[in-house]
Amino acid sequence: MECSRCGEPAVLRQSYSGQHLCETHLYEDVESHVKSRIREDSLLEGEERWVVGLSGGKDSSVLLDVLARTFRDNPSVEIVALTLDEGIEGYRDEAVEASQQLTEQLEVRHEVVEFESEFGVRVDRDVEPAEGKPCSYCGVFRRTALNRHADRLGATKLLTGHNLDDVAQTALMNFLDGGVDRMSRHYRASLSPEDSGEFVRRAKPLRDVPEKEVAVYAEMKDLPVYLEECPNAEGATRGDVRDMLLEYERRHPGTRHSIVNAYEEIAEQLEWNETELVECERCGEPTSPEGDLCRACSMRQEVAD
Amino acid sequence: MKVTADVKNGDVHDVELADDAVYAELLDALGFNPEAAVVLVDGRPVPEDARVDAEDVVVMRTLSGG
Repeated sequence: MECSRCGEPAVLRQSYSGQHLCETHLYEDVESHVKSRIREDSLLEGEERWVVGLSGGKDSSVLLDVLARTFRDNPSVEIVALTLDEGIEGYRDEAVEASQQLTEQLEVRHEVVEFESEFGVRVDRDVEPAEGKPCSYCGVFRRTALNRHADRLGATKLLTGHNLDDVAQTALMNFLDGGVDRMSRHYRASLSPEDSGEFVRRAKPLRDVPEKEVAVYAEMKDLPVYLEECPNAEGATRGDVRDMLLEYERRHPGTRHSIVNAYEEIAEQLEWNETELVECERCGEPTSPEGDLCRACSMRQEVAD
Repeated sequence: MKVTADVKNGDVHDVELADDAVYAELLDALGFNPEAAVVLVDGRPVPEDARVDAEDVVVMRTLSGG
C-alpha cells in the first residue's frame, strides 16, 4: 500500500482524510499541524520561553521533539522541559528516566520536580491507601506544580502534549456531565488564544493530531518513551467515553474533529463569570475566595491527617 | 491462514484469518479497535486496510497511560 502523496510504502491510514501516509509524510503532517496551531493560537508573541510539561510518555515526548527541532535555530524561542515526579514506584521513575534521555538527545534544558520535596507527598506511599482515589489528588498537585514552576522558570507559555483524542474526550465528558461552567473554564484555561490572567498561559499545540498518529510517530522515530499505563489509571468515565468515541470514529471518521470544533465554538460564546482570585493563605498561589487554602494545600492537609 | 501476533506488553496469540484478510480483521480478532492499535511487520507499522502478508506480526496498542 502506497503513500497518497509520494508513492513510498504507507505506514498509516488516515480514515478522516482518506489518505495513506509514509513515514516522511507522517512526520510532515504532524509538524504542520503543530505549526498551524502555534500560528492560529498566536503563541509567538515576541521573546518566548516555552515550558513544556514532559511526562516521559509518547504525547509530550512527540510534542517536545517537534518543538525542539522546529525552533532549534530560532533565537526568540527558548524551550524548557519540565517533568514532575509524583512518586509512583515502578511507573514514574522509569518515565522520568525516559524524559532525561529525550532531553539529552534533543539538547533541551530539563527540570525535574519531585512531589515529595514540593508537597511532602509521594502518591504511592501517602495517597493511595488512605484516600482510594489517587488520580484526583495527583491531578491537583500536578496542576499546581506545573503552574508554580512554569512561573518560577519565567515561562511565557506552558505547553502540554494533549492530543486530539484527549481533547475530544474532555469535550464529550463536559457535555455528558452538563458542565457548562466547566466547559467555559476548560476553554478559557487551556484552549482559548486569550490570556486567562492569573496563571501562565497554557496551550496544547498537539491537539489536532490523533493519538494513534502520535504513537506511530514516536515508534518510528524510536523516541525514548515509557509506554506502560499508570498503575492507578484510569477514571471510569474517561475510559467509557474513550471506547465509545473510538468505536464511533471507526464507523464515522472525522467525529473527533467535529466534536472538538463544535465544543470550541460553543465554549467561546459562553459567558465567563470571572471570580476574583485571592491568595492561598499557606502557599500564596491564586485561588477562589471560597476557602482559605487552595485545593493543593487543602489536599496536603487531608493527606497529612 | 494462520498469523502469530505478539502484543506488546501482552500475550502472543495465534489467529486464523481468511486468505484475503486485511490487518483490521486481525485487530478485530484480538479485540482491538484499529483506531487504537497498530500492526508492525518487520518493525514497521502497516495501514489497517492493507492485505495481511506476514505470518509473524507485533501489535502495539496506542492508548496513553496518563
